Amino acid sequence: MIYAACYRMLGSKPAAEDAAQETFLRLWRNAAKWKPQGAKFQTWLYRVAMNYCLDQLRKKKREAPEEAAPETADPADRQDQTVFAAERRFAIDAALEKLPERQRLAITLCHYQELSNIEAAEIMEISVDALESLLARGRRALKESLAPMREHLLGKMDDGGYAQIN
Amino acid sequence: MAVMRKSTDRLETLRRAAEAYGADPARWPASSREELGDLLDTDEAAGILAEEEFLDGFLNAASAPRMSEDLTNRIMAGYEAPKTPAGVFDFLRTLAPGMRLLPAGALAGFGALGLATGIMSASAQEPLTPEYEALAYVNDLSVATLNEDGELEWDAE
Repeated sequence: MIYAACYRMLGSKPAAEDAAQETFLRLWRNAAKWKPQGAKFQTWLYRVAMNYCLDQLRKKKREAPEEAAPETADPADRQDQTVFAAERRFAIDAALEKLPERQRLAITLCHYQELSNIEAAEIMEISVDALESLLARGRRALKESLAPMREHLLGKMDDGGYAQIN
Repeated sequence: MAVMRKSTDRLETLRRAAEAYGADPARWPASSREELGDLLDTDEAAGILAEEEFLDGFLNAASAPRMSEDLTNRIMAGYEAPKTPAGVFDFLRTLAPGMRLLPAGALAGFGALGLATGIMSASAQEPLTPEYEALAYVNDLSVATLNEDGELEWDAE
C-alpha cells in the first residue's frame, strides 16, 4: 500500500520503489523508538512516505522545472487492455500527474488508499475542512482536465465504438 | 419555505460531500451518510452523483502497480535482526483492532532471509515486531487480523 501511494504521488515505478525503500529504511531505524501515544502507526508510516514523496517532487521541480510532461505507462502493460480501458487509464494517470501536489496527495490518501478523512488529514497535518477543500479542488481540476476525453469517449460510445463505459 | 430551504441546504451538503469524496456514499464520512441517506434516491441527488460517478470511473481506471518481490527483498535487506522489544503485544494492542497484520507475500522473503523463525509461528504465541506490522502496508496481502482483545485471528484461505 505504501508503494502504491508513492507511485500515485511520483508517477514512476523506479521513483516509487526508491520512496518505499527509503520509508522502510527509516522505519527500521526508528521502530524501536516509536511510541504508540501520539500518531497512530499507520499515520506515522504514511506521513514519512508522503513527506519523502513531496520532497522528491519539489527537488525534481527545482532541478528540471521545464520537465512537465507526465511519464507514460509501460506500453507492455497496455497489450492486454481494451482500447477503452487503456485510453481512460492514460488520461487519468496524466491528469493526476498534472494536479498540484497537495491535491494529488489528498486524493491519493482518500480515494486510492481509502483512508478516512480524519486519518488523511492527520497524515497531511491539516484540518478535515482543509482536506475536503483540497479534495474538491482536486476533483474539479481532474474533471476539467478530463473533459475533452469525456467528450471523446462519449462520442465513441455514441458511434458504437465501445460496448460499455464502466 | 423553511422546509424548502432545509431541503436545499441538505442538497448542498450532499453536493459538497460528493465533490470531495465522490459519488459512492460508502466513501463519505459516516455522519454525512447518515444525514443524507434519504436524499440519495431523489432525482436531484442523482444528477449531482452522476457527474462525480464519471470521475470515479476514471479514478478507478488509473494504474495500480503492485510491489515486486525484488523490492520486498530489497526492503527486507535493510532490516536487521529482530530485537523483539519487550511488551510488543502492548504495542500491537495500541493499533486499531481489525488492522491487517501479516503480508502473505512477504513470508517467502522473510523465510529466505532467515527472519521467519519464531515470529511466524502458526500458534501466534511468539511476539511480532512493529516491523512485521509495517510490512502489512507493503504488499497488502494479509493473512491475519488483530482482534479487540489484542489476539491474532488467522484468516481462513
